[in-house]
Amino acid sequence: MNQTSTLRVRVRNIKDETSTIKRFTLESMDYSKLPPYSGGSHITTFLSLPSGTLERQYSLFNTTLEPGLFEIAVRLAEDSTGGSRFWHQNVQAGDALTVSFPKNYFPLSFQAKHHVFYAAGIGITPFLSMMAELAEKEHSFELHYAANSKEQCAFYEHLRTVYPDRCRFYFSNSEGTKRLSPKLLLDHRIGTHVYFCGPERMIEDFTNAAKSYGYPSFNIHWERFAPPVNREHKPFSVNLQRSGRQFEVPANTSLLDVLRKYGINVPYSCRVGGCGTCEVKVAEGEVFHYDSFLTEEQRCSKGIMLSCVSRGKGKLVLDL
Amino acid sequence: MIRKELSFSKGKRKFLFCADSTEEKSLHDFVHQAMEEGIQFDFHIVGEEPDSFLDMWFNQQKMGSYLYISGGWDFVNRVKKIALAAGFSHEEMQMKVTGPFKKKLICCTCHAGNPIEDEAYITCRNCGAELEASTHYSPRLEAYLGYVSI
Amino acid sequence: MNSMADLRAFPYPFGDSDVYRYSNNAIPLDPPNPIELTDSYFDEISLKRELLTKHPERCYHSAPHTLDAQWEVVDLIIDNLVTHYPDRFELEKKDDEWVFSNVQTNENITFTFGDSTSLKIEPLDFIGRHVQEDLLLMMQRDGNLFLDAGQLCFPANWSLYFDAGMSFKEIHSPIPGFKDQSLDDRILQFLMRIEAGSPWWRKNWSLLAGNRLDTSLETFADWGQARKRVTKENAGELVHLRVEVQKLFRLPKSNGILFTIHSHMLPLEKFVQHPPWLEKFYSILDELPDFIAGYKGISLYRKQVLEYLEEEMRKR
Ligand code: HEM
Ligand code: FES
Ligand SMILES: [Zn+2]
Repeated sequence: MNQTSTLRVRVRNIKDETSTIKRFTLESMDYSKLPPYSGGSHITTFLSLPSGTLERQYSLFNTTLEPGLFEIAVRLAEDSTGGSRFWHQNVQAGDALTVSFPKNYFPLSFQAKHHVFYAAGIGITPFLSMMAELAEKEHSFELHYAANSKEQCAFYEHLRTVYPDRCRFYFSNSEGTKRLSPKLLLDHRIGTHVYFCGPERMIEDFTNAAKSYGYPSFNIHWERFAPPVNREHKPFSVNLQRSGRQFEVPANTSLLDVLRKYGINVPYSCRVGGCGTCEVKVAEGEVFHYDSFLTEEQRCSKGIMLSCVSRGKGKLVLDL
Repeated sequence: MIRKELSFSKGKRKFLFCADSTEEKSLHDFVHQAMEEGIQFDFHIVGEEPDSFLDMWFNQQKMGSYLYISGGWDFVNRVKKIALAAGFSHEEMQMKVTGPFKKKLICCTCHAGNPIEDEAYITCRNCGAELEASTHYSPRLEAYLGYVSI
Repeated sequence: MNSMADLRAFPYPFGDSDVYRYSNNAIPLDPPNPIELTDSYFDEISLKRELLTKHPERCYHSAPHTLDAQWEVVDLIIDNLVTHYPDRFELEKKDDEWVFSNVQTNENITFTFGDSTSLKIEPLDFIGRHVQEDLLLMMQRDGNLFLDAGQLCFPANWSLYFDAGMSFKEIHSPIPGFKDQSLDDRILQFLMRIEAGSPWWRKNWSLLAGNRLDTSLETFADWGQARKRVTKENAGELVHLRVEVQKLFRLPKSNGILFTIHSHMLPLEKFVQHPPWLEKFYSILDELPDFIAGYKGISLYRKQVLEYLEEEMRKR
């Protein structure tokens, strides 16, 4: 995310959706239209705090009838150390902010015959734009949405009005209503794609259930935001496993530059963590990944890093 | 994907077995296994039934269903198309073709489709160009590309 | 134009290395302009229009679900044309009623943005006739990228008709070595991660015996013959270095990717005027593995070109 160009926006409006969820309507600083986006997109917001810039990701939607606006919903997290508290307590209508262009890591399936969304709590947000897109294209979909109560159910009125026949609500604290259960997955027709968004546990339960019912992974989608990154540029050292050489990487120099300086011919192209060309194999040590190329799985596997932007913690051993 | 040998797919809720009248036997082992494991299944030997019958059958299925198709080239491709249109994906089916495959080679010069079997070179039936068969395959045209040499 | 100006405008395709291998050589594009106008603008768009009229089946293809993305391309390209070349293109907008003017061709086109019935041809086909670039639209569907629409007049020996509808990896399957070290997977991953607002570009190079831009696979039997005529004596004039400047833009609404290709050509006799280029190119061509030379169609006359380059180096 180093090279991303950004957009300047102004907060037009703030509305309480529930006691803990606020909706922010953002408009372009120069009153032009903000870029359009596909269903399931999100933006990264850059909040300037005294302690530094906080990057947070929020799903994008637009419940107003006016095109060219961004909306996000922010839930005040109890243990929030920054992002959601700042949004709730510091951001005012009229404030100027920096946000990224829309990006989509949670796109709709193209070949689905039917789309089913399972949301819990604030997990509803990516589905707002997805449903809007499907409704416009007249594709078939349904929503199953769980919240503590009607009062705690963000966008309840909006959803009931706009998609009256396609939404089922599940309130955990009221008597008599059904709980949201993975058993619902048993009843979807062939060609259905399912989408889950909510707490980690819910995503896991539904994903496991879908797989056990015989859903191909291809038909199962979920959204989990990447944990926030705080960029640290501290010096670290690298050992090269095969040649036994050892180098120091100063705070203001990239690993790629250090390796090349010592004649190790790591190929590269973009130098901003976007093309994947400068990958090196990591044998040991902890890596701070600052690229925008590797997938979550590739990062977790711990075997690789992009040497133009990513850094080691303390001491790294490379398979070179 | 079209396979040489079918394999039993684990973890499914229901099987659809679909064969033409000459190939029903090739599925018997799987039917047997489905019965042993207590998995629900439908078995259809398709003869004169129109497409609309298959279409209805496939459209009634729920997620977790898995389709086996076995038969001659034309039969397998016909059933596959109806199944895909109903919502089955390639992840939810296996196919086995008995008898000859009907491959097609597209002439790079005039775009005509030429039937081929295993030849490395053919002459385009439309423009007469000498074509070399390749492995470059177009799912849209369901055909391989034939290159000319100079 | 004199040859020094030709040289300066030419997108030199090699890096600092003396060897060439396939890799992801993409870098961020700044300024983020998908289009470049050169001195041959008028000739090239005239040629494009002629080819599109005579050979629509090989120069244009689109799947019906690409129409929205095609309009995004129109928006992106027109916006850049009027921003970067304000004396050559004009746009008047009243809500969705647009009047686009190409000053050079003296055309004014009126249409309703987003309404495909307001244009005589499809949006991608329409805007492609005003730029030198070939325009390909890769749609992201079910976790993969597919070539679902394109206007292609100047292909380097491939067929849009045949490749239409294919995935990125299927398209690149004829290239030897492209799967080594999962290069194809990595490039696909790179493409999938391209974000709106942050476009990329790269260069690809090849040699061509002859000077045609329209080297379609469909007409290979024609233009390919020139490969047999290359000699050490005529290589400077006959053989051209062909460089494709390729740019990649994420379209935020449709989530598709626009891939623009601007093909530039320079005869070797001009290219060698710049001694560092001459030497570097000699090393690269000399070392080039057979599988790459074969794929690029150079094998038949590599020896002759090397001899020509050697002689040029001796002269300097
Ligand atoms: C996303 C849009 C792209 C499209 C539609 C596209 C299309 C093509 C086509 C049609 C060919 C010719 C294949 C043949 O001979 O049949 C080709 C060649 C090739 N492409 Fe791509 N490509 C794309 C992006 C890329 C990217 C991002 C790279 C990055 C590294 C790349 C690398 C190559 C290479 C190395 C060749 C061989 C060229 C040569 O040796 O002259 N392509 N591409
Ligand atoms: S050089 Fe492009 S990711 Fe490092
Ligand atoms: Zn032919």
